[in-house]
Amino acid sequence: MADRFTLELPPEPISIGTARLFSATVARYFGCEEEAVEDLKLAVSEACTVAIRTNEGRHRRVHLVIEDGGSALTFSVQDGGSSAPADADALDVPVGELIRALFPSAEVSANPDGGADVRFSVPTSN
Amino acid sequence: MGAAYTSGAPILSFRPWRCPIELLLNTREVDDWTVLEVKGEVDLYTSPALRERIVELVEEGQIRVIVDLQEVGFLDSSGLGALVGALKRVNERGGRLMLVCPEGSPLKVLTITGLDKIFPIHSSLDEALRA
Repeated sequence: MADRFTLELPPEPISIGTARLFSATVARYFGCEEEAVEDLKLAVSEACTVAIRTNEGRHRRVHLVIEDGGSALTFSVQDGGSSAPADADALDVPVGELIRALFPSAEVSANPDGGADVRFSVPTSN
Repeated sequence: MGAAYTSGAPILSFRPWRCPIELLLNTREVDDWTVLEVKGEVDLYTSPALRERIVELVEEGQIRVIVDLQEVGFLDSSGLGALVGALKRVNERGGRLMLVCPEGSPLKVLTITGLDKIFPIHSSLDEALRA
């Protein structure tokens, strides 16, 4: 059975730092390069930002799952809500684009509720 | 909040409760510039404080602003949104806004998003003041 780590986050902005710390801790344990750790922290933060904005006030938890596939760790962030509310100062950069710029093979898919699920992999030294 | 682990590797030491992030903002005057020093991590949780501070500065009439990101260890699109909003507000009042951002994660985010072409970015405060 592959190692699998899960973190359930309440949909609150303060949770995002925890998601980054959790992801970086697991990635460093599995020997990911430090540059990759910085990139995955950003990707996780972006994915969680969208998920939390989507679910804030609805009490639906955001799920961060990290799976060890032997030569790579796969990160997935799943929300379950509808589109994020408009933000006057929000960047006109779709979340998927920034994550794909960091991880070209990242999958960003709409879920049935209209939210987004994000999945990407990072090589390990194992 | 909960964390779970399955299967056989050693259990990683991780405290699965909230890890509050501090964002420290300090303002000082250098020559005819207002320098806003930012320390910490800028994300969805902390970016409102940055946004509000810049709005305050602009409303006080300080429209020559240098945002010093040298001590920022992490910046995501929420932080970029605050900076873009700041640039827009300063420009609307005929002012100038520059960033101090050396090599590192924040500069990478600015580059990936193409914002390095929108913001004047300098690697040190001295370089910004000489620009």
